[in-house]
Amino acid sequence: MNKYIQILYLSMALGQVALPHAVAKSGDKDHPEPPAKKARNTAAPTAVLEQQALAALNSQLQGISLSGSSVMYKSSASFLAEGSISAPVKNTRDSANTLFKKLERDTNLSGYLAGLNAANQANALDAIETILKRFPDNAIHDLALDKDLIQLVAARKTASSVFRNTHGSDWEIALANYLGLFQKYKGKPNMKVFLNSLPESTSASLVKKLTDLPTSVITKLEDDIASVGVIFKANPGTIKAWETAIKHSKVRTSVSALTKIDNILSNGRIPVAKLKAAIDGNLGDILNAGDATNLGKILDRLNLQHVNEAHFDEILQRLSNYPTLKQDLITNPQWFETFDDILKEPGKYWDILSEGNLPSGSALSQWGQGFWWKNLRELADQFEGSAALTSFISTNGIAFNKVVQQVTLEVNGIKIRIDYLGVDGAGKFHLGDAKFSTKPKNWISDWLNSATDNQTVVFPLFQNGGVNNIVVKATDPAKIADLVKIGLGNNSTISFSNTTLKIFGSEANQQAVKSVVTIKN
Amino acid sequence: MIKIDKQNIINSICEKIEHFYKDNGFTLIQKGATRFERNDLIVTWSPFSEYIDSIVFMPNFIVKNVNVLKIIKLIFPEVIGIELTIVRVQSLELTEEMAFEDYESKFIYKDINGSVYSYRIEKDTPLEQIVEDHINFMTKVGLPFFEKVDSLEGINDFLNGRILKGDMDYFCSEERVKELQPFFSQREVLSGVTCAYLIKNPKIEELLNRYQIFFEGNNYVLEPMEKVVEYFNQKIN
Repeated sequence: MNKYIQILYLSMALGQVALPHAVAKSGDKDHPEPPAKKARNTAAPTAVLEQQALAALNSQLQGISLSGSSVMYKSSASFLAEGSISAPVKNTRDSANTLFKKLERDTNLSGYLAGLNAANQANALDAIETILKRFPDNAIHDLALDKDLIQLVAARKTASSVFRNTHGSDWEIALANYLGLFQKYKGKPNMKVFLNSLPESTSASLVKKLTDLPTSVITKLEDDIASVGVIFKANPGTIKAWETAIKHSKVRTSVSALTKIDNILSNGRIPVAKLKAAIDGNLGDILNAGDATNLGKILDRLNLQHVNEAHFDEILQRLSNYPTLKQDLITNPQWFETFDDILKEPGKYWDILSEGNLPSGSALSQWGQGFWWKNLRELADQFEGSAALTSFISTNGIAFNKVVQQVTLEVNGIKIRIDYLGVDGAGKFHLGDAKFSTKPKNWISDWLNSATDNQTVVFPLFQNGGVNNIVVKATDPAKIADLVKIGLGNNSTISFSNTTLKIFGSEANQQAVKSVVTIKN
Repeated sequence: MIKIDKQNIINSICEKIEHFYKDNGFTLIQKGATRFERNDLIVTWSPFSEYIDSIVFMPNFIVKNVNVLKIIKLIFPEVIGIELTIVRVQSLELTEEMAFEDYESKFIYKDINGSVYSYRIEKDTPLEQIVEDHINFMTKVGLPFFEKVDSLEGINDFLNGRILKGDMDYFCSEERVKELQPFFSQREVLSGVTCAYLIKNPKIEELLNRYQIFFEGNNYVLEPMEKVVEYFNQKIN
């Protein structure tokens, strides 16, 4: 006959076993037993404590409702009817057997259990049973014998009004999650202190986020928890931020930085993986180089509306492609905002430089100039292929299939390249040129200033009727094939009287036409 | 600045898109302008414009009906490009012409003056999206357009059918003229009239009359049209 059955017989013989005084008199089930009281009981002789614990368990088995499937333990008599034991009952009984074995091995736990008041004791036993049910055999021993854990779990069950309300009907799952959390951080004293300090109303989100952290970062978390635990409790989202900044101690231990990173992650404009890779890499080097103020400013900058994934890619691409630029920002992290300003509004580059915030010899300054040119070129190219093109087509009443772009003409023997050459329904050739400017311009009066050297000679000839001949020049077979669409080829001539010439000037730094200047109608 | 390798870009696009064209009976030809050809039907993939670090493509759809071409070249042996029966570009104009409503693509730029449907490609531009978009256009608009104009009857219907649609009041209405204007010029008229003669369109007189009305005072269109009419009249007599 095993010890379990012996206890049952004992229980039957004596009726409900009287609990030790300290246990019996405490009945406040919403609060765990005060530590002082437990200490007094754990000091009792081992054999007595074990007996008390076993008795307490027996009491539990006989009369105290256990959670969930174990509620069937209402009468010890039922255990004697082996044939009528249902599977759940048998399972629970088996679990209880395992529990007894563990109790036999750990008198401290027995003592601890014996030192609890009736409600807490019941909950502690219930918690142990939950442990036994939820975890594989190899995990049971470590968990079940951790009396602090049992205490914590018991406390949560005892304070059921809070715990259940926080976790709803899935509180048992939440309980199991807590146990998993404790197992994950076993052997980490700082984390244990932190976990023990978590309030009963701790959100499932915090538990899950801590449980989900990869094992590889646990040691770092143990080091950091004293400084970042407070923000984790207030905002579990910052755990992801901490993990994102894992590589840089200055960033990941700053409560302010974690809050800002969490904001960036929450706004969803930059994917988590991309931000983490960036902080692991060049961006992290810059973040870690700055003091708290600059760190905060850079992160604030990354949280602005314009920093979407594409813009963030631009930032990363520049930092990767221009090592001297990165070094400049590591040395001067306060320049990050200027760097982003140039990326966002390249047209302002010269204004930024003239304001004196950026030394003209710096790598950032040199990069900015190159970027400004590239961006200006891109904006001008896009203007030529979009707003100016639709304006050319609309103004001259030409269909797309009657337009060729970028055509070289020889006018009175002078070569010019014009952006558009099209023919309308009446066979008239229309010439057009797109002019882009970052600055506001009066195109009507200033159009000539935007022309190339040869255009400066040729365009006035169109204006005053001085054109003698216009010859199309093309050597690229693809261009020649394109010209065929509008009835032209290499060396084709166009009658001056059968032409118009217009200039399409942009709004300042925008993809929109401000003025159409007619040089010849 | 990353200078773009034009030929490399063209080759990459052709490599990715060739299977689609091959499945639809087209052959890639890279001599001269890069293009895909199936008999009289051609799609050109040459740069519309070129810049230091980007090139822009706007594929062209060309119909060169041999029967029409022979006659036009006979009448106008010296005129460049007049032999092309129909020329269209990948555009919302063509979707409109093919009555495909609400066509959308992220490569279409729109403003108050109109729209531009083009592919701007830089050195690192992923080509997959462009290829996918072009195949989408071809499937919905490009190939149906080619199916429509792959015969003399089809060309006649595509060009002359719209001119002959409705009574004279409808044809002369301001709204109808505005609708037709972007799609008709010298090439369409010469090809349309030639086709009408070749298929012996019973409404040829009405067709000629309507073209006369539509292009009244436009000798750029009407004079060569008269030459085509003369050619067929002489042939008949």
